[in-house]
Amino acid sequence: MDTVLKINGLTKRYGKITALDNLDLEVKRGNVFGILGPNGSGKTTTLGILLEVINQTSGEFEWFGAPSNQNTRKRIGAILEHPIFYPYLTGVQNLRIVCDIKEVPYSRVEECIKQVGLDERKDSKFKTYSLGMKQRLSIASALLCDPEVMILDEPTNGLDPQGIAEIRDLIIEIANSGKTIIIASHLLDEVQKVCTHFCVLQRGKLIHTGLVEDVGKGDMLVEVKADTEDLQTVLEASGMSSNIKRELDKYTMTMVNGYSAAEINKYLFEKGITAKHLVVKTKSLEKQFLEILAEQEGGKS
Amino acid sequence: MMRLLRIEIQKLWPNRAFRWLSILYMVAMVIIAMGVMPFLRYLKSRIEDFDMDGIDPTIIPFYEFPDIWQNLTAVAIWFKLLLGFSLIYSITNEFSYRTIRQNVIDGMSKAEFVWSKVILAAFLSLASAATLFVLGLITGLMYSSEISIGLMFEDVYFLVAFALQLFAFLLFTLFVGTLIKKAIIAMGVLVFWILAIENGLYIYGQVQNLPWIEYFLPVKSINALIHNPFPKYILMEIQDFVTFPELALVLGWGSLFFWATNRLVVNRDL
Ligand SMILES: Nc1ncnc2c1ncn2[C@@H]1O[C@H](COP(=O)(O)OP(=O)(O)O)[C@@H](O)[C@H]1O
Ligand SMILES: [Mg+2]
Repeated sequence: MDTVLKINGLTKRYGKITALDNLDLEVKRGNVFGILGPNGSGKTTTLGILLEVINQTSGEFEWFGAPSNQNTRKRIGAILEHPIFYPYLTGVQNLRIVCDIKEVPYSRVEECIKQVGLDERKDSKFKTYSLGMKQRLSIASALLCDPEVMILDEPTNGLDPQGIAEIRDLIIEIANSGKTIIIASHLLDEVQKVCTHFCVLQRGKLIHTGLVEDVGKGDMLVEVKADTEDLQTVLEASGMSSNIKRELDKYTMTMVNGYSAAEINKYLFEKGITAKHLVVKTKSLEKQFLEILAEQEGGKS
Repeated sequence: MMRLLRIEIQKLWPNRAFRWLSILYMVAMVIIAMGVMPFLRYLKSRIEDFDMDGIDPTIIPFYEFPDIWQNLTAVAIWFKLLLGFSLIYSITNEFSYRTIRQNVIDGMSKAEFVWSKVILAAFLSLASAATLFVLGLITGLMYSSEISIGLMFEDVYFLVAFALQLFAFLLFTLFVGTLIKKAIIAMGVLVFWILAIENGLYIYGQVQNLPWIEYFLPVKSINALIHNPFPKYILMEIQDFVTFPELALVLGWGSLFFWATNRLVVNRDL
């Protein structure tokens, strides 16, 4: 797998604020890469530097194995924060300008507008669009050059649940066509639903990178309910868990040493206890995310 | 280059404010070019009303080839502010809509973005000069007492100087628009600069006998490229040609504003 993006020690300071602190990152071809972080953690700043609209304080980055210039950006489809277009122009007129900038034929305009399902309103002025339509137009605009890499910054921000679902489906569809996608988001389930890889930023610092599918592999949680007085002690005595948490009559065990629900079941059975509830929980990205944040000093975001 | 011009025209032409400013400018040019003779005739009729025979303003040879070129350009340059406003409008919109940011994201370099505005300025200047050329030919052929190819084209280089004046002025407005980013404030500052600051300093220079101050006033320097031809009609001496130092000064100011605009944009976070 070849490297699409390599970031080396990227730093951005706004006066005393360090928006981005010595970031190193690598994105390979075909990755759907999520940049996760709470608001103000430096996601937009990072993407802005990669797209050369923000000047970095120090550090460098390479697109496709070479230092970037404007022709690099013609191979990338990108949206930063809100959709930006000329409000007094129609969707089609706006996309034609992007075609001229990216040096792709106008024939792409119709194709991309169809792909995002904006056909009916393509000749209305941009300022009359709803937020969902604006978001679609910007995805169409990013698709114009048949990009090798797509960059999306909070693509579902401000949309209603239906709009969110539609945009996510669109992103998954684009991802399935094999494109490399970089998504910045503060929404955990968004990253979990569409990404293959992710990293976590907090106050400009990179605090975690990994595979989305590895999330939850680390610790397994098993919930147990049974009608017995001393369940907590019995479970603790099993030595299969590092931690047991009680909520009403439900006990959640954090399993260790590869023990799983089957061993617990057998163990309880041997003790003459019948479990009436036994459920395996893999950790959601949300839990892991909160844990990662909590591990950092102070953990406040 | 054609690509950048095409982008600019696609951005601007559907815009109502820009279209109105351009049309207004064109109409103004037509009126001043075509309107001088009717105006002189009107003056004549008023003078006759007052029974002051012997003064006939219509004999002022405003449209005489080749003088017409200096006369027309010297008058037309007063309307440069309309064109300046439309350029300010174009550049400040890019900042307030943040479309400059999207343009760069989509694949323009910041320098290319500035270029596209400079090309727009050059296009507007050349189009103005071309319009004035056509208007000059028409009115000259209508009113000039002596017509020959030689006379018609003798001083036509004033149109080149005119285009250059406009271009340098538009680079100045481009710089002001880029610096200030807000349309209304930028236009206000531009007018204030021209009317109050430059005139104030100019008069101060005259009073204090420091004529060199004029060379540090960009709009005055640009205006001075074509000298006012009209005192000659009351038999005063005028400069009826373009001098090299004055030309160099205009080119210098133009280059300075181009450079400064470029620096502003390249160093700025969009
Ligand atoms: N133009 C700016 N001037 C000063 N501080 C800024 C500017 N832009 C961003 N910041 C600061 O940089 C930090 C990172 O912002 P940003 O990258 O927008 O975060 P995110 O996209 O993750 O929400 C924030 O603390 C923000 O306040
Ligand atoms: Mg952001």
